[in-house]
Amino acid sequence: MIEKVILYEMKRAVARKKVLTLIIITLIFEIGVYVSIGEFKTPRVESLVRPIQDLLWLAGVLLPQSLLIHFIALSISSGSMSEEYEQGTVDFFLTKPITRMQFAVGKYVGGYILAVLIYSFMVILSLILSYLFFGKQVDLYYLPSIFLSVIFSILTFFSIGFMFGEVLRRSSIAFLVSSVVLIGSVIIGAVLIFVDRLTNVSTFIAIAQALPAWGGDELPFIVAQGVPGSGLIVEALEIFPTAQGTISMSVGYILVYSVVSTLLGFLSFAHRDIPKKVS
Amino acid sequence: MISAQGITKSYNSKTVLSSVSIVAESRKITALLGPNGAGKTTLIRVIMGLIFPEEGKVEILGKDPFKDKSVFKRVGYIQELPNLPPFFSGRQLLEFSADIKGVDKKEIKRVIDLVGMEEHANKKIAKYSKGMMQRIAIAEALLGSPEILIMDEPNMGTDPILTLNFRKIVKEIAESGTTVLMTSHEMEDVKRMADQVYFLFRGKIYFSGTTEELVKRFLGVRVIIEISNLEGLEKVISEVEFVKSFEIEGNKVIATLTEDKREELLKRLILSGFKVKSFYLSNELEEAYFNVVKEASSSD
Repeated sequence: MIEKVILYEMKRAVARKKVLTLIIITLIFEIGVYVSIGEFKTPRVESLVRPIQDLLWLAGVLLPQSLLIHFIALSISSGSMSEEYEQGTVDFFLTKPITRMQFAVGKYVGGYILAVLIYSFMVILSLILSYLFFGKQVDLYYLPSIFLSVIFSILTFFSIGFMFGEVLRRSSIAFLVSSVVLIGSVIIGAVLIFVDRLTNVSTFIAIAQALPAWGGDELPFIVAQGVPGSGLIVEALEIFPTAQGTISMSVGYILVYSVVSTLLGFLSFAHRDIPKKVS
Repeated sequence: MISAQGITKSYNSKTVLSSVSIVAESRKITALLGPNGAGKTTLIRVIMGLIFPEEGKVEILGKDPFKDKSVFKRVGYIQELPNLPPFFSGRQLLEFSADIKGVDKKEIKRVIDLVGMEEHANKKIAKYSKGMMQRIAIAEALLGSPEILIMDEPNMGTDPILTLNFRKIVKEIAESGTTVLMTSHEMEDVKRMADQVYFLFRGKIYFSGTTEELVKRFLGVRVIIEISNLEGLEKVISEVEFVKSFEIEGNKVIATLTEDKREELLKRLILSGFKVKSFYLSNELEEAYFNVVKEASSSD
C-alpha cells in the first residue's frame, strides 16, 4: 500500500508550480555557471579555472548544496501534508484501507525520493556540462560518496518542512517557517563564527554547529575536501562562513534533526483529528 | 451494519456530540437529519475514523475503523463537497481507488457508465465542474459494490436526471443488502429514500424512527382526501371528534387528526355518502422538520 502512496506523492509534488519553479531556477543557475565560466573567458577567469578545469564536475555537484537543494526539499515536504488538508484530499485517502502511518510514511518517502531524483538530474547535468565545456573530468570515483552525503544532508530540512507542514496544516505558513529556520540558522551560524573569531570562545562554534543548517550544509563540503585539488571549488561554493567539523558530527546533527522532526510530524498525524477542508 | 454507541466529542470545551448512539442496518437507508451545526458531519467523520471520539465506540461491519482499516475495502464514502486529487483524470482516480481497495478493474467501466461520465473520464479532475466532480465521487464510492455506503450531504446540484438516477441507484443497492447512512438537507431525498431517520439537535439525538413517525409526531396525522362532491362535507367533517382541524383546497380536504384514526374517518365519509377518490397520509416532511427544530429549540 505504501508504494501506491509514494507514487501518488511524487506525481502530486511534480504537479505543483512552486516545486517546478524552484527546479527550473536551480537548473538555470547550474547551466548559467558552466556557460559563464566556459564561454566568457577573461584572462583572470582562465587563470583561475585552468588548474581545476578537470574537476569542475564538482562545482555543479556541490552548487545546489549551498542552499537551493534545501529549498527544493523544504518546498516539497512543507506542502506534502498541508496541501492535503488545504485541498481536502486527505479525507479521500484516510477513508480507504490505508493506515495513517502508511499514508504518512508513503508521503515522506515519496517526497524524499523526488528530491533525490531532482538532485540526481542536476548531477547528471553537471557531468555533461563539465565535460562539454572543459573536457575530460577526473577523480569521478569521489562522486558516489559526495552524492550520498548530499542526499543524506537533504534530510534535515526535508524533515523539518514535513513536520511544520503536518503540525501547522497550512502550506504557505509551513514553507515560510521552515525557510526562516534554514535562513535564520545560516545567518545566526555566520554571526556566531564571527563572534568566535573576535572572542576566541569555542562555545560559539559549538552552538553554530548545533544549529539545523550546519550539519545539512557542511557534510558534503567535508566529504568533498577529500578530493585532491578541490580546495578552491569548495571555498568558492561555501558562500557563508562556517564552522569546521567532522563527518561524524555533521551526520549526528543531521540524524538528530531529521529523526526528531519526522517523529513529531508522524505523531501529530497519528493522534490529531482530520478537520474538514481548511481553506 | 454500522453502530456508533455513546459518541461524545467536544472542541475547546464546546460539546459537539453528546453521547450519541445510532445504528444503521443493512438493506436500509438511514438518514441523519438536523440543522447546521447539529453534529451530523462530525458524527460521520467519527464513523469514518477521521475524528477521534472522546468517548464511545464505532463499529463498521463489526470492526473498529480506527484499528482495522481493512474494513474500508467494503465501504464507499461520498464527501459533502468531494475533494479529489486535481491532477488525476477521473479514470486514473478510479484506477487508483480500485487498486487500493483491491477491486477488479472491470468495475471502472461499470461505474463510469452508471454515472454517465464516459465522455469526461479522461479529463483532469481540475477541469471538472462541481456536477462532474460529484458524479466521479459517486462512481468512486460505488466501486466494487460496497457493503456500506456513507454519504455526507450528497448534493446533486441542479441536475434532476442525476438526482433521480442517484436515488434509484441508492435504493437498489440498499435493497441488494448494502447499509446506507446519509446526511441530507434535501427533505425530498430523505422522504423518498430513508427507511430510518435520526434527528440530531445540538449534538444530541432528538428523535429516531421512520419518516412517517417523524411526521406523525411533529406534524400530527395529516390526511389528504380527494372527493368528487364536496357538498355537506364541511358539516360532516367538523362533527368528527378526532379531527383537530381541516382545510378545503379545490376538491381536496386536508385534515389533521388528533390520533391515528384514518380508517375510522374514511368509514364515516363513505357512510355519509361521499365518493372518496383518494385518501392518503400527507408526508410533509419539510414542515415536520421545522416543527422538530422549533420544539427542540424551545425545550433546549
